[in-house]
Amino acid sequence: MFESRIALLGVVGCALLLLVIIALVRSNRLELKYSLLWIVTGAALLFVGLQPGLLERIAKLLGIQVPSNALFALGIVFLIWIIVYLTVAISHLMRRTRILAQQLALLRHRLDQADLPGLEQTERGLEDRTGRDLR
Amino acid sequence: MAAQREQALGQEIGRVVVDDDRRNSASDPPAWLGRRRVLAVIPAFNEESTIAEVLEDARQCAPFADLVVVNDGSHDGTVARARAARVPLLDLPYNIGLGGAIQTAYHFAAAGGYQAVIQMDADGQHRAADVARLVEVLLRDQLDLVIGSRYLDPHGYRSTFLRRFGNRFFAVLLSALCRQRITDPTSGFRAVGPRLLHHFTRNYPFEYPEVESLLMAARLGCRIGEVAVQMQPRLSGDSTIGGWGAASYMVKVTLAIFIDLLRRRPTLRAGETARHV
Repeated sequence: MFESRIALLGVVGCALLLLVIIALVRSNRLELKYSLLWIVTGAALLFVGLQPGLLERIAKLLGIQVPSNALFALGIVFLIWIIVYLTVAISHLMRRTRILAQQLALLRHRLDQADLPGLEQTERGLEDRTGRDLR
Repeated sequence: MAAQREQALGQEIGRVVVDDDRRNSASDPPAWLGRRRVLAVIPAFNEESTIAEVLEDARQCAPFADLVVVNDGSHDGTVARARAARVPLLDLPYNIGLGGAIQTAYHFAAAGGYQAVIQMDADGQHRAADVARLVEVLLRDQLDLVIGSRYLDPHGYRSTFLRRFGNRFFAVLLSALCRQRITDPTSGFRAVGPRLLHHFTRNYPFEYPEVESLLMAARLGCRIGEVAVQMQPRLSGDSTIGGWGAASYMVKVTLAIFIDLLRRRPTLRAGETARHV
C-alpha cells in the first residue's frame, strides 16, 4: 500500500497528531478554534499521506520538480501563517490582561478608600497565582 | 559598588534636606493654578529604598499637587512604604511595564477630574522643586505636553558618552518628526494637559513610552514644550538603559518609531479638543 517507509511514517505521524489533539480537547487544554485548526491540518496531512499521487499533482501544478519539496514549501507557508496568527492572538491577550490589571488596580484603590474588610486576603490570593512576570 | 552607592545616597539625603529651592513650600496654591487640579504620578517598580523620600520631597516642594503612586508589581517593600506615607496607591497585580503603569494613572486622573498630570521617577532623579515650573508652563501656555529637559541648559546634565550620543540622536530624529526643537525626548519627567491625558487613557504606547508618547502627541497635533530641569544622581538603582544596552535601546526605539509611523494617525476625539480651560 505504501510506496516507501517514509510515507508510512508520515501517515503514522499524522495519526499521532490527531490523537494528541483529541487528548488535549478532552482534557480541556485547547480552545475550540485552535483544536479545529489542528484537526483540519492533521486530517489534510493524513489525506495527502494516503494519496501519494495527489502530492505529485500539486507539485506539478506549482512547477516544483520534487514532490516532497512542494510539501516543504506549503508546510513552511502554513507554519508562518500560524505563527503570525498566534502573535496577533498574543497581542490581543496582552492588551486585555493589561486593561484587566489596570482596572484591578483602580478598583483596589476604591476598596482601599472604602476600607472594606477582606481586601488583604484577596490580594494575597492573587499574588500566589500571578507572581510570574507576564511580560 | 554598593558602598559607593550608599555613600552617594547619604550625600543625596543631605542635599535634599538643605535644598533651599522650596519656594512652594507654603501651603497656599500658586496663583497661576487657579481652581485647576494637578496629579503627580510616581510609577514605582522595586523602589523601596527611595520612594518614601521622594514622596516626602514631593509633598514639601509641590504641595499643590495630589500624589499617586502606581506600583508596577514590585516584589519589595514599595507598597508598604507608599501606604505608610499615606499616599493613594494604584497597585497593579503584576508587572505590566512603565507605559501601562502610567496609563493607569491617566485613568485615575480622568476619572478624578484632574486638568494636568505630571509624571516623575521614584528613584529621586527628578526634583520635586521643578514640578511647579513644568505645570505652570503647561497651564499658562495651554500646552498639551511639557518635557523636563536635561539638555536645554548646556551646563546641566552629564552622563556617559554613549548615552549623550543616543540622546542627541533621538533629539535630532524627534525634532524632525515633531517639526519643532526637542532636546530631551527620553526624559521621563513630563507634564500632560487635559485633552492629551484623556487621549492617553484610550491609547498609550507600552514599549518605550517616553519617546513613543512624544511622537504620538506630535502626530495628534498637540502643542509640546520643554522646560530646563536639573537631574539629581539616582538615589539608588541603575538606569534601565546602560552600557551596551544603550546601543540596543537606540536600535529598538528607532525601529519602534518607524513602526509607530506606520500606524494610522491617531486623532483626538471631539470632546477632547474643548477641554483645555
